[in-house]
Amino acid sequence: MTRHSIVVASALVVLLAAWPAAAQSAPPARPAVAVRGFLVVGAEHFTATQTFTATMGKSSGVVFGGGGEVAFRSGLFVRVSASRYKNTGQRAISLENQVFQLGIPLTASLVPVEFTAGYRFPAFGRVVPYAAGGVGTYKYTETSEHADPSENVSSRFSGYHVLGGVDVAITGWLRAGGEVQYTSVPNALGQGGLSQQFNETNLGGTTFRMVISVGR
Amino acid sequence: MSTEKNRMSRSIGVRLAAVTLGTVVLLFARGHGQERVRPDGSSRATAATAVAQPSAPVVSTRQVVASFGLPGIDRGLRNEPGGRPAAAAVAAAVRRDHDTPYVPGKVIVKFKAGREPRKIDLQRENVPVRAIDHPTHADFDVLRIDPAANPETVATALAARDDVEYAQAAYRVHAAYVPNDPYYHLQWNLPAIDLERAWDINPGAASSIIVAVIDSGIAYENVTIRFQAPGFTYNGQTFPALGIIDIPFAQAPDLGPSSRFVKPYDFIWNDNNPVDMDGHGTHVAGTIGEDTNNGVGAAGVAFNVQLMPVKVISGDWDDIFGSPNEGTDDVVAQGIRYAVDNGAKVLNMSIGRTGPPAPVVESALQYAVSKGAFVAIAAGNDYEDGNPSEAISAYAQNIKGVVAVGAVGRDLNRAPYSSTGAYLELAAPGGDYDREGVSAMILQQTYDDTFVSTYLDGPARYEAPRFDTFAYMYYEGTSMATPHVSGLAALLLQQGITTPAAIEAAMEKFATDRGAPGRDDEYGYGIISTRNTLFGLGMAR
Repeated sequence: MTRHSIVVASALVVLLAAWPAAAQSAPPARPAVAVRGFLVVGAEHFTATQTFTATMGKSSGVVFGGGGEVAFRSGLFVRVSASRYKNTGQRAISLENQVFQLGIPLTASLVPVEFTAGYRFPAFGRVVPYAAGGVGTYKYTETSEHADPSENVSSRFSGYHVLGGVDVAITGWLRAGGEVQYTSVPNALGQGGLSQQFNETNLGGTTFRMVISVGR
Repeated sequence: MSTEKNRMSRSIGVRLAAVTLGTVVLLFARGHGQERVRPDGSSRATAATAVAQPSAPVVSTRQVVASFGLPGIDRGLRNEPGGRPAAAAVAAAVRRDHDTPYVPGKVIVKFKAGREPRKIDLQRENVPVRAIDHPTHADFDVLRIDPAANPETVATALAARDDVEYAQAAYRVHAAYVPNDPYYHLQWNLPAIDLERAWDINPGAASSIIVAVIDSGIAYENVTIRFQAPGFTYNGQTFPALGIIDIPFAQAPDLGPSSRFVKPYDFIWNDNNPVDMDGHGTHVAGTIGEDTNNGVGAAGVAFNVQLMPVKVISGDWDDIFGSPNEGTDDVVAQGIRYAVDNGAKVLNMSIGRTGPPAPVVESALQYAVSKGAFVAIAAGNDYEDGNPSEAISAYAQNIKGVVAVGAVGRDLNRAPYSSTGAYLELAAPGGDYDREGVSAMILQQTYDDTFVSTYLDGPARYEAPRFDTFAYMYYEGTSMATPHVSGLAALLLQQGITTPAAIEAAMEKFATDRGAPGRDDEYGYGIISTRNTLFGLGMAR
C-alpha cells in the first residue's frame, strides 16, 4: 500500500468513525472564543507536474504539519500552520521528448508557513463545513549529491491559498476532518533546471489532507 | 583520392617534409577511383602510403606464428623537453557511502573570546554535548555531541547564543577524483573538459559498455605475425626487401588487461587480428580508455569500458606488407556495421576524407544510430589547406546521434588546423603545437616511433619494425579531440542516457559555448563539458 493510500484510508476511517456520533446528538454550542491545536497529514499534487515527475518519479507527495487556530462564535476563525514535504529523487534531463534520470540523488523539501482566515458555516449535525483563504511563506530547498554549494537551492517565496473542508466533532474536545487546499506559489520555479525546460513556474499545488484538532 | 594536403594529425618526431613529399607521391600512386579514408590524426600514415610502392609483387597474406609474445616494453615519456613524472598525484575517488553529508556526533563552534563555556554549563542549557575538543591549528572548538542528535539542529541553536561567533555541522569534504597516473599532470586536456568533477559522479563508466575504435587497429595483444616485406622505391631511394620477417606485437601496457578488448576484427587484412601497425588507433584508444588511477602512465576518459578494435585504416607497414585492403569507404562502412552488430554502443571514428559524398558510409552511420549506437567523427584538420568540407563527418549534421568533433588547443581556442563548417557540432581538446608547442598536444601511450618509422631515415637505417615497444607520445588533430567525445558518450550511457540522439543533445546542451553565441562553424555548440553534462538538471537549478 502506498503512503498516499494509507493517508486517504486513515482519513476515511476517522471520518466514518465520527459519523455515528454526528447522527445521534446535537452539535455542541460554540464558545465565544475557542483555541485549538491541530495536526494534518495529507497528499499534495504539485502544479509543476512534469518537474516533480521527472525528478521524483511522481507529481505528488506526502505532507505533514500542524498549527493553531482561534475560532470565534460567529464562525470566523484564524489559523497559523506549518507543514513539510520532503522527498528524494534523482537529477534528470529531458532530451528528445524523453526524460532520463541520472542516478544522482536530489532531495527537495518545501516548508510552508501559512496564515489563514476563514468561516465555519452552520453545522449539519456534528459536521461543520468551512472555507478559508490566506497567504503564506514557502521555504524551498533543493540539494543534490555532487553539487557545489551554488548549485543547491534554499529560497523563500510568497504565495496564497484557498481551502475548504469539514469538521466532525468526535467529542467536545476532539475533532476530525478533511480539507482540500489549492496553493499558488508563483515564480518560485522556472528560472533554471528542469522547471525552466518544462516552463513550470508555480511551486504550489492541490493538497488533500486529514485534520485532527484538539480544543474547544 | 582527396587532393588536399593530408595532414589530419601529427606526432612529434614525424618528418613533415616526408609527409608532404609522400602526399605528393600518393596523389599519383593511388588512383583507384575509390576514395581513400585516412586517420584524422596521423600524417605519418599518409607518408607511408606513399612509401609503400613495392618493386616486386607482394603476397597479401600474413601468418600468426606465435599467439603469444612478451609483454610490451614501456619506454616512458617521449618528446617532452625537461618532462619528468611528478610524484603520484593526490587522491583517489572518495567513497560516498554515508547517509548524511555531515559527521554525526560532531559540531564545530567558535565561542567568543573569553566566553568559552564549560561542558556542564552547556549541558545545563540542554545542549547534548559530551565533550569539548580543542584541536590544534584551530581557533575553534569541536563539540562531541550525542550521535543521535541532529548536528544541524544543535549548530543552529548554538549559533543563536550570544557567546558564539559561529557554529556548524562538520560537513564532509570530497576530494575531486584526481588519478594517480604519473603523467596525468601533463594531460591538460582532461581537466580542460572538467573531467575530474565528472569522475566524481561517474568514475570511468563500466565494462558493460563497449566502445569501438574504428581506426588503424589497437595494440591489444601479444602476438608474433609473419609478413613478407618486398623492396620498394621511395623518393628516388631503393629500400631493400626484408624477406619473410616475424614481427612482434604487444599489448599497450597502459591499456589495461586483455579482457578489456572484445570482438576484434581487421578489415584491412580480413582476419581477427586488428593489430595496430601505425600507432594512431592505439593513441586514440588511450584517450578513450587508458587504464587510470593505476599509478602508471596516463589517464583516459572512460577507463572502465571495453574496447573493440576494428581496423579500417591501413598504416605504413600494412601498405609495405601488401595488405589486401586499404582504408576506403566500403571498408569503413563494413567496420561501422560490424561494430554495431557486435554490441558496440559508442563508435569512435578518428578518420575522415574530403571529396565527393560517401553514401555507403552515410548508410552505415544511419544503421549504427538505428541500432542504438552513438558515433563521434573527427571534423577534419584541413582548415589551413583551404578548409574543404569533410565527406564523412559532414553527415553528422543530418543524423541525430552522430557528431562531428573539432579541436581546440590548451587555450581552448580553435586549433589552427581544425576544419570549420556547418557540420561541426562539438569541440574538444585536440592539441595545438603551432601556437603552444609540444606540451599543448595530447599525450597518450602508443608505439615508440623510433621502432616503427624505420623507413623515414633512408635505406641505410631501414629495418623491420617492432610493435612491442611503447612510449607516451604527443599527437594532435581532430583525431585526438574525437575520443574525448566518445569517452563522454560512454559515461553518459552509464549514467542512463541511452539513446544516441539524446546523448548528442545532452552534449550540445551543456557544452561550453565558444566563438559566436550559440552554434557556430568554429566550435559547433561549444567545448564538451563532461561534468555539467553528467550532472544534468535539478528542479529549480
